[in-house]
Amino acid sequence: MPACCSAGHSGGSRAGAGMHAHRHSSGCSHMLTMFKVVSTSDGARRGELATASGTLPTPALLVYTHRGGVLNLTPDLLEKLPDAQAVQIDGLQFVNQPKPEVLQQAPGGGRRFLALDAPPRVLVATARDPAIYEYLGAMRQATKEWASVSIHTGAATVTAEQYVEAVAALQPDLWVALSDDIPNDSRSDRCPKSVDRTVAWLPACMAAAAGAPALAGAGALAAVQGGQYVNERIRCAEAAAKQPGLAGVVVAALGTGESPELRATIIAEVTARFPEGALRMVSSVGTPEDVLEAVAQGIDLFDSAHLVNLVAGGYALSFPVTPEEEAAQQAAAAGPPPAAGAAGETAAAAGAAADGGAAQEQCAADRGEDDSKINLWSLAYRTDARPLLPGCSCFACANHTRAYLHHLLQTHEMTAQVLLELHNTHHYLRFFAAIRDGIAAGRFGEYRAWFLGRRQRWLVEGR
Amino acid sequence: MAGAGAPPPALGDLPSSSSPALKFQVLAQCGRARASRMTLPHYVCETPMFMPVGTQGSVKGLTSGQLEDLGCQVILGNTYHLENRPGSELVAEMGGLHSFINWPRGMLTDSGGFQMVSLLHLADISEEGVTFQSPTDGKRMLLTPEHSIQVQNRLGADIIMALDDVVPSTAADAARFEEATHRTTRWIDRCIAAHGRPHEQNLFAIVQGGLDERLREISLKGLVERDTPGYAIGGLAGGEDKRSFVKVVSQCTAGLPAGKPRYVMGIGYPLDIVICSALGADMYDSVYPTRTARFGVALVPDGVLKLKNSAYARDYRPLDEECGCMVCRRYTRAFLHPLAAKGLAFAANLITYHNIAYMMRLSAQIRQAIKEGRYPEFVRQFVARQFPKGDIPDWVRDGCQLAGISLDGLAAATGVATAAAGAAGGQAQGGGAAAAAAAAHRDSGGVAGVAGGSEAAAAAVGAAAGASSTIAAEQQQPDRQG
Repeated sequence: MPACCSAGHSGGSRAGAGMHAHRHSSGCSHMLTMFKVVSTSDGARRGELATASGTLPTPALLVYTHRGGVLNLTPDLLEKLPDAQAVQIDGLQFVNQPKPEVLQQAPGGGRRFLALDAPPRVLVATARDPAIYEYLGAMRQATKEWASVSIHTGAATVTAEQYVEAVAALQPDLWVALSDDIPNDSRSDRCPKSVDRTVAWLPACMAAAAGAPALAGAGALAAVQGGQYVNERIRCAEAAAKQPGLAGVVVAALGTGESPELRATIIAEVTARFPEGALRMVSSVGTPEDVLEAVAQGIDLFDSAHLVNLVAGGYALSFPVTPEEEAAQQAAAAGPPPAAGAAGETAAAAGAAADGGAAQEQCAADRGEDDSKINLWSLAYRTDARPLLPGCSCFACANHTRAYLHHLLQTHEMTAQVLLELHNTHHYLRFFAAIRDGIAAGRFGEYRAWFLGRRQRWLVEGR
Repeated sequence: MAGAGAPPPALGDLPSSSSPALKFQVLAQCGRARASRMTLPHYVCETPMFMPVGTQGSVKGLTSGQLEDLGCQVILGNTYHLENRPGSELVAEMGGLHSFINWPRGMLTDSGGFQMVSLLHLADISEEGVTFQSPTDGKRMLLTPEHSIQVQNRLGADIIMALDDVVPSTAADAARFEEATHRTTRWIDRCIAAHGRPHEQNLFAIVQGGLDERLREISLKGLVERDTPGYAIGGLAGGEDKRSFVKVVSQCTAGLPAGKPRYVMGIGYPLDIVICSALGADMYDSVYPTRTARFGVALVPDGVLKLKNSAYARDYRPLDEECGCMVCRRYTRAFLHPLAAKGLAFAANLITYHNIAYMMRLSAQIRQAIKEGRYPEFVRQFVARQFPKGDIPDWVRDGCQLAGISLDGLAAATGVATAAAGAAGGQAQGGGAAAAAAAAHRDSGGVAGVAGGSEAAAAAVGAAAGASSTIAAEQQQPDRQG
């Protein structure tokens, strides 16, 4: 049974290297062994998560879902993203409409009900929609018995048992325990209460999971709350680390206004309370720079909140994923610039190219462009016949132009979001692959320095 | 080609036509229905066919790749909307509409004239043209026949439509219909004169005349003389009573050249397509399948599934058990129910995908039945499934009668309405037409005589019209098409 510690003891031969590298001993030997660290580089770790749905290489991006759908991507389009090996799904979205029994009774079970069964994907059930942060949980007081959450049917109260029932119906590979999820700036009296409840609900969730056959092979992650109070975060982490049968930890409620320094401190303090072999996830940490910082602190799993926001804003990711790509981009921009302009592809680009360097910087700002993304709402793309990102092999770039995306946004056509989600997900999956390659090659620090240097050049020198 | 049974007639004996940018070849006839091949500059189409509407350059929520996967042959773009945004000059600069939206197959653009009806409060119609007020920026824009054609020349669709003077078919002003009919004929000459790409684009004339048989005859005569590559039947699908609708379609298909494509504009209800195909029409378009999908309504052989209904909360069947589309393979009604009830885009996209798959499958079934010489039987089965109680609307009976297709067995099988029996009695008064229809029951060849005898059939309809009817309100189609 997953909720007991037997796997940790008997499965020694299967245990990863990190499993035995304990920094803290209390209760840590009870960790599940589905995860192993393969290699490390400059604080980052390249790992493998072995699940019934396949082995997921980490650090990994979990594709976002909303009520079971990959936001705008129907299954045929999701298949165009073969590297989308893992998806995140909010268990609270299955407490009601549909109720858990609708999934339980569905032929083939919850996974098939959601069409997430084939091809097999690693399913990670969370206790929060990472793209929507509802403050209701903080405004309304939860009690020891139930969490107060805001879901698609309105405000609701959810007990640990109800939550685990919904999670079990999803047949996940990993699931996050229910916690009293509050934002960073919650008051000093609210945070300890949140920690108290979170600490109490963890064993309740584990007990409920022990009785759910669907969770027999699934790994459980404890959520660590505490808002901006590091001592509360530590208190929550220490209590959670005592729980037997966990597969890892989620540093929860990030991306809610904390400073980069505070986030780094919280991640460091929380992860230090768990053994090296514990899987580490963060919630709502999303920009490329934020991801790199968290990876450098040994984080393994990330959700796609950032991509949801990018799509909603009409952005397409454009940053080079490797130094080689940066060189290629620079060559394309500088090499035969008159040719590119003269190709007549873009009247606007031709106009921009005619201007000098300083003017060009201004144009970049006018285009709603920075070093990592372009904004397709910008009028600069009205007649831009290039793909969203030249050289990109995704379905959207292989088939459509910036001009078409601009038009679809201007006319509020739903196909715009479909194509942007395809591109951005494809691009971010490549970014994560590059991160893993960097770690595996033992030069993650170099990769990170290159990436951040690019960002600095943009901010300081304007490119 | 025709299946087993009677040897297929040589293609040379079947109607055909050839224009600089369009070849039309009837491949099989079954009564008044026909299956044909239409060769357009960008695609070789099989008709009868339904054409999904991509108003502003996309079929809402779907990619052009998905439309190809679904087997769509021609999609529509709306000239009026595209001229507003992004503008036809921009589209031309981007290589035309095909290139702009990356759609390799057939395209059709309308004239912009339909917005005379759908945006009437913003339009002012004169002999010169139509003055619109842009719904996006309020600017006034004069659409003349010349301007419409120039815009459509820039968009570059395979089929472009003449600007016609559209009067809502529910309008009660006879003088307005008279004016519009003659004006449409005057405007077709201006359209032909303005058409700058006749070797790459096909200009279709549009038959007008409201519900008035005399005006339709005038319109037909005038337009057929102009010898355009194809013809549309316009001014319908605007809320007129359906018995008048089938009568007009029947009159127009009978009056149009046999070797040219016939396009009934704004038709998207599956039943309408089945009946119009029986009457010899070839092409249809409507936003209905895609729009109704966004309202959570799925099209199925038995009618529609209104997925917002909680009856589907535990229904683990696919939308349509006979459909093999991606959505039906992967999802159940129970999954779609709560998402459709909330109006989520994801559910809208899935149901849209299925509804287009349904329309493509229906079109293929119609073509197959015609080619195999069993279209009357197909119609009977289709109608029987849509009206399991036998409460077949009078207009369906009218349409079938005009097509020489008997529905006799269907009503008799039910003990429901005396009205149905009355309607059947009314049909019986059709005399010769009914006899021909009875023959059709046995062999599609039996209806051949009816095609030429539409007047007799029309007389029978007139008689049937006297029969009282209790068409259930639920059979009145919801949601007008736009």
